[in-house]
Amino acid sequence: MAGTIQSQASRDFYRRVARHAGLDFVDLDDVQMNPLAARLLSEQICRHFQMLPISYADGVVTIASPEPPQEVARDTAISLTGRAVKFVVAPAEQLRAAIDRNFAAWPSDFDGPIPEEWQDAGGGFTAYRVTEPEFPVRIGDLLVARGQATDEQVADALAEQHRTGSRLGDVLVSNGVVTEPELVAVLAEQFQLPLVDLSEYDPDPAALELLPEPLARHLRVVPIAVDENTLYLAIADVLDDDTVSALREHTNLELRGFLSSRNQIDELLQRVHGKDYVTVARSELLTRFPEESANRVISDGQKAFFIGLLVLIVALLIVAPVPTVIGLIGCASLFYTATSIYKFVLTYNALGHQYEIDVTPEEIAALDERDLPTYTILVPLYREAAVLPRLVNGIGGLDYPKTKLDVRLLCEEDDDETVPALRQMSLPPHFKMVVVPDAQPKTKPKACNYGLLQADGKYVVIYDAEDRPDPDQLKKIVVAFEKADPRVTCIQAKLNYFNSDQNLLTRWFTTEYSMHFDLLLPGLDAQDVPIPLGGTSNHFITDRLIDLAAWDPFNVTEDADLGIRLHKAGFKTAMIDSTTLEEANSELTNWIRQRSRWIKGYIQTWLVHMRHPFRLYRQIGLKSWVSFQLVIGGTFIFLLNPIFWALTTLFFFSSAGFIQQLFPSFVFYAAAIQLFIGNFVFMYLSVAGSVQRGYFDLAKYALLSPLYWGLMSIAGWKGFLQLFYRPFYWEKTVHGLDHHDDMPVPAGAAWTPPPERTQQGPPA
Amino acid sequence: MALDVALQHGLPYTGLRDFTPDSKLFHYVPLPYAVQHRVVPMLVVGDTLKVASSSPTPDLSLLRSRFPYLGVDIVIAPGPEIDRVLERAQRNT
Repeated sequence: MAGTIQSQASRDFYRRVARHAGLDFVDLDDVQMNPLAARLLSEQICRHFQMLPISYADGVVTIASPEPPQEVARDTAISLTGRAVKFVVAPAEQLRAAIDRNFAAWPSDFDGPIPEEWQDAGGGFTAYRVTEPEFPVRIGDLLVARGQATDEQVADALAEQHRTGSRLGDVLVSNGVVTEPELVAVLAEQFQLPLVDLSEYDPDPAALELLPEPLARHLRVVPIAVDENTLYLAIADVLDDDTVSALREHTNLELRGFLSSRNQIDELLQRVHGKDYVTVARSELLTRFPEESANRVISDGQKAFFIGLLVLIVALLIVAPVPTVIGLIGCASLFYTATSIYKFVLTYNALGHQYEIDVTPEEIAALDERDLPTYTILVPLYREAAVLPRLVNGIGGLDYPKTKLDVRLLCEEDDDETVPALRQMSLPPHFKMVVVPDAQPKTKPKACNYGLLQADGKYVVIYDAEDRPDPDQLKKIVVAFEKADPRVTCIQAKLNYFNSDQNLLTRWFTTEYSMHFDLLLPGLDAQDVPIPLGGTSNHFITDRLIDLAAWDPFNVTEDADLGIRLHKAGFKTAMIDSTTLEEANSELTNWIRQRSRWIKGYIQTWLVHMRHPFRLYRQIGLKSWVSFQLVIGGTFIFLLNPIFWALTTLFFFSSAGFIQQLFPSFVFYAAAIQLFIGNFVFMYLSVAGSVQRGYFDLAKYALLSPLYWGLMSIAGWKGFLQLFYRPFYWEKTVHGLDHHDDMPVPAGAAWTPPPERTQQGPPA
Repeated sequence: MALDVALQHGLPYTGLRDFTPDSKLFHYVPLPYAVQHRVVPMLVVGDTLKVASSSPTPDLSLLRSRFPYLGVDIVIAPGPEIDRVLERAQRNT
């Protein structure tokens, strides 16, 4: 009874201390502490300063202390936890008991005295030196004490930490001072957490069963063992309160953490749950939005419609062949004309306007790097070992803190070229190789979905292996997302080619891309209609992309399809004036393979979204519906072209009478206008696109574009026919045919791995 | 002497010969700081802390910055008695 009264009096006293200090009061007997957060400070520090971390949420560590902290205690807490801190007042006797409990369970391996030179008259620390290896408490001290870093390297890393807001350990790894395993060993010592090497570890299946795969993936933890009361977890960082609560609630067990590297945890998660991941990557869209998936080429309704239409046309051809063919030609001419006029208006308008989100150099310069979010870069690879050095240089040249880049190189399991090459390369620490288990369909979108499952970034972008994005592209996107309409979920950068001058094909390809990305897509953006995304350099808000079930693994132009789905979901795509240079396909058969896939994918996309044309109309409105028909449905023009070219050629050479019959005056004039004016318009726009981009020397090649359109039709028919027998087959584009091996390494792109260490200790 | 200071500044006076402060009050004024500035936290009444000092204007800036919602009343006490109280407190820590 007396004890209870005394305890209550003590609580009242400390409650008043809290009130006088303007801090919150915490009764430690009533709150559930986060045992993993408590390890953020060592026992010695906790006892010396009478403070104990009790929770960790939203990046803020809450620290209990019986009184408001003196400056030195606060600085120590911030420095050692590496996070923002918030102090609360708790009764001293409760705090002492909590410290005893916390450190009794996990014995400390350090109990040395605080050196006198660190203490001032008030018992606190004096100003810090950069490192203090004789009293190794902080990461820098420990690394210098172990001979793994020098004081200068730690000083440089601290300066970078100050500039970027990244964790010191991440900076040291990124700078090549230490490896990730070395850092984890030091962190384990600092937090007095046991260390676990997961590279050869097989978790207890009973422990794995306690945590469903999606939760483990979301929380980035792996249960490795379990006993009656405790679940043992491999963790890469101290878990925040929400995570701890979620785990406790789910398992009803006490938690004990074992520290491991983030990469090892990711690899173990993939090893253990790889099959689940592949299932998610393959089936997420199909499961959640089955009507949006291209896993069926054509729906039953569409089948019935097309068969009915075919029967009708055949019947009409039998009954009245000439009027039927005239009608078909008339419809085709109308479609041609509508498509041409629409594209002309879009691109012509874009000539005189800037529809892209405008980001000025001043806005980029004003960015505080501490506020930059983590950015995930997905790079799907397949048999592309030759371009890997170029890939590392291209991404290394991005002006973005390396500690905030999460680059995932997505390889297929059966890729016996790229995977061994990557394993032999000394990749920068922000590059992670992700091996996608072998499963059908073997497509780029499936690999991207797989990579997205472990993406850390707030934003995510896809680059191809040979891409060279503008160095400031990521920073521009960060600014652009801040300025853009809140519905903007994707920002598409422009694509162009670095080897435009290689041959005639690359020149044509470049004029086409210049018109498409510099004029057509900005024009669509201005009209607020669906934008078929380009294959790379489309930057997404990660959470929204996941909500949309990301890319369709069955669609071979998953990018274009996603642009339509974004629009249907009420989101927007915007354009930005930043360019990624790619390798233009310079070899004809390779080009036809690539283009046939694109055209097949556009037809897939059109078929998927036209399963319910009226529903689509209700979802996106008339303007977007018509635009969809003309832009995506416009692909069918490539199939019609050869028929009309054949008729025209035949007529000129034979003056066959039956052809004249098929073109009565009104159809003839419409077709002739289309032939001459339409071709002129597209040639003009190709020239305009080249000139707009500054490729004046390419303008003359744009005049030869009709030959290029012929190639497109060959690819179009190849893709269309393939839709019937290999609908999901991914026609792989071979890269590295440009012979530009002398690509300069951008400043800051070079990566020096940490030195090999065979033993610990100070360097000689 | 201390009594003169108290009268001169219109402050209350107290002797500390048999006084033992509540150790918890050193959360308000840390002991090293109390020794350095020769002050003794005596009592908290409501939202006011009574502090014994031989000076009418002791340096309590740390106290005020850490406890912005706390009033402070100064009570004059003889310096040697303050020293003895603080010595006892240090021995008991």
